[in-house]
Amino acid sequence: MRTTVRRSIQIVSAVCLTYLLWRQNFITAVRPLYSWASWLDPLAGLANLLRGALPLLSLISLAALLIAVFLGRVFCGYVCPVGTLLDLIADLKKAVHWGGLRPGDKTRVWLERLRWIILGGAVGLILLGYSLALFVDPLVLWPRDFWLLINKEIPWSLIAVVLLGMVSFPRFWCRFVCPAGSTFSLAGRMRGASRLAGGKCTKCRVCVRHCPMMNVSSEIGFGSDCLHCGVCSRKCPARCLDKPASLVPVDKGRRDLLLSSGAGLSLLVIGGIARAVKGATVIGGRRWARLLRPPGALEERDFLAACQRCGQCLSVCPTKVLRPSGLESGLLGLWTPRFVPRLGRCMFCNACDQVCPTKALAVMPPEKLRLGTAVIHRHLCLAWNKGIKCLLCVETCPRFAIRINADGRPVIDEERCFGCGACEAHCPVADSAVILTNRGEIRRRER
Amino acid sequence: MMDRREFIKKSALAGVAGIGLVKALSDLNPAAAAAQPELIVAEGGEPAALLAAALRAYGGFDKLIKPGGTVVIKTNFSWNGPPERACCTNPDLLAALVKACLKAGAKKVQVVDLSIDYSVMSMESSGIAKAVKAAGGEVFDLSGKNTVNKNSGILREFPVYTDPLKADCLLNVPILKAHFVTAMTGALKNYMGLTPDRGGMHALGTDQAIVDLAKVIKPNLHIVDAYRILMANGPQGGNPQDVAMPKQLVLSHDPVAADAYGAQLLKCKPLPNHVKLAAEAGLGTADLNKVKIRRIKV
Repeated sequence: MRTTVRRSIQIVSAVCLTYLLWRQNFITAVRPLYSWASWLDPLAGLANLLRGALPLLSLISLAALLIAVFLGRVFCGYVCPVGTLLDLIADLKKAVHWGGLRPGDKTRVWLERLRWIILGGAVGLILLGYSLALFVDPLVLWPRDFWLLINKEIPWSLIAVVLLGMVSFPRFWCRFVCPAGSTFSLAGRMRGASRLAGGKCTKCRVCVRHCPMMNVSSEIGFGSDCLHCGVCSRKCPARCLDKPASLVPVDKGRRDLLLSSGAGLSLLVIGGIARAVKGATVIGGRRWARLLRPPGALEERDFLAACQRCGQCLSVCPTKVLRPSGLESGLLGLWTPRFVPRLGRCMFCNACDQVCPTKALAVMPPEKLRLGTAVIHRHLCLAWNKGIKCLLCVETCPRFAIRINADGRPVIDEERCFGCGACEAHCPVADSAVILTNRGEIRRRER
Repeated sequence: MMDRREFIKKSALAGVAGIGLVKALSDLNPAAAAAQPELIVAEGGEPAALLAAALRAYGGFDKLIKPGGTVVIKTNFSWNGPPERACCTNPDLLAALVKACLKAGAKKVQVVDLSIDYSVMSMESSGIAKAVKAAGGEVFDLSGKNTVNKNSGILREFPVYTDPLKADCLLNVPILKAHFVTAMTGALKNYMGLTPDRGGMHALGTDQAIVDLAKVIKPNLHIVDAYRILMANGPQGGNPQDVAMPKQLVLSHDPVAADAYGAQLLKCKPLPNHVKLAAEAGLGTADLNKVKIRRIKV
């Protein structure tokens, strides 16, 4: 019975979240229907605690954390859409009788250590000021892969997660990688309780084998990764798991946990210190490419700290001119949104600003909207170089910022230009004779 | 028996009679009768009333639209702005036009353009989407639709959208505006929305490209919206002081004549280059003295 209830809640949750994402996309009016969702990850709350921004939404993170303290990983078992997908993969594997490589006891110890290193690393990155850690949060992964799917690209995050599940056991990601999950697991330990089999236990280890989260260790101890799925209760032949019996704290791995998280954290703190001392980013890079951001973006440093790389702004943009960046602002800028004027103009509709969950992008007053300044390369321009009456840039400029001089050639009024990119979007010259540069762009200050 | 003198007299008479007969026949021939270009100008009313008056003077749509046919209305919703900005064709005019086409027996009426701004926003803010759908027509952007390559003058292997060309009746319904590049935009320039490669036209020299495009696309009728026009800073507009309201509608088979009249309304001197070139290419008459203008006051 519990299984049906749980699976139904899972499906409803995944469908609702996806529907909210889809409905959020710009039709004629955009509403931030999904933006609150990634706040269910306590790490998002931590990241914004340090920024001192958006206190109300941080309450969602706090609530999620408290729920984990008292109810363990119910989020993972009932709400998380990635978890839902992985449970469906589990059904599939069972149907085709495919076992996969379940880690043995020794491997499991190392995987546990790896998991805490990952969490330590994630927290470390957040302390350094990079929300890149949230890159792998399931509720950030979901909109990102949604964008990839609707743009007919490979949803690589979901595929990686599913592949791990196919090769090993389905919930591998949840158990040994997901930092949000690890945070919930940690929170669950604070209560210091776990479920122990009652007196009738015959040590048959059926519960060890069947737990989808490998939460039961061979010493018949229950860890803090319980999804409350009830599989162990159902499968136990001696029926010793029907009620939570005596509760014994499991502290077998505490030392390991501390050491591993410490290791992860320290790696990044060292990196941060090195960066501060040398004045150069350790794994980042200098800005070498022309990198334009969507309207209402924070100053670059703060932007990289705040952006979750969730891709909601990419999905919502009506002219589809926002693309995920590669390494243009370093590895730590991976998948942040960039504005590509050659694809079209920015309509300054502020849709991206409205859906950004962390307000890395936020609505700015119209007089402050300026993405950059356009520059005409006269040796490429058909009017300047060949005397052809093209002048398409003049026609498409929404601000009359390009005038025709006495010789019939276009000249940009650099005071008026607000960087919408219409000229670059429409220039018929290959690779455009008029380029939007960063000069004059206006970014927000955090405080 | 005829002698030489009689023969010459009879031949001359026969010749004169023959010429006279041919001339009389050609006067009865409707094609020859329409050889003199004609503009029907309705003025002094709201768009629906202007259209009704102009259509009455024209003689109705029945000879243009076959019952059960598809009508494509190539209009202007290229820019994102409300009707008061005069950047797109008047939505009330389009609604009335759609209704008139349906009344004449058309099965499908499609209002199309290739918007330069984001098309959903342009169709909404101009009021055209709502008005056309309420009148029973379809409205869509041509982006992504099938094209066919045409050759004409400087346009080589040039793509043109096929849907408007395949229509049973193609109506060209531009709004009259001033324009930074071509001095004005009216009937002739409105054809530019029928190709995906507007940029290519600009790159080859906008004026001649417009003329060459007009050689291969032949709308059945031109209806120029001069109800609310943009006198300066076109085609996008934005300054309320640039908008004028002559409250006119121009109906014609001759796009060059319609544009010459439009240039007059816009106080565009000298005649815009693309209109002049079009006249020289034989696409119509730019000299308004040679055009019969029927004015109807509403």
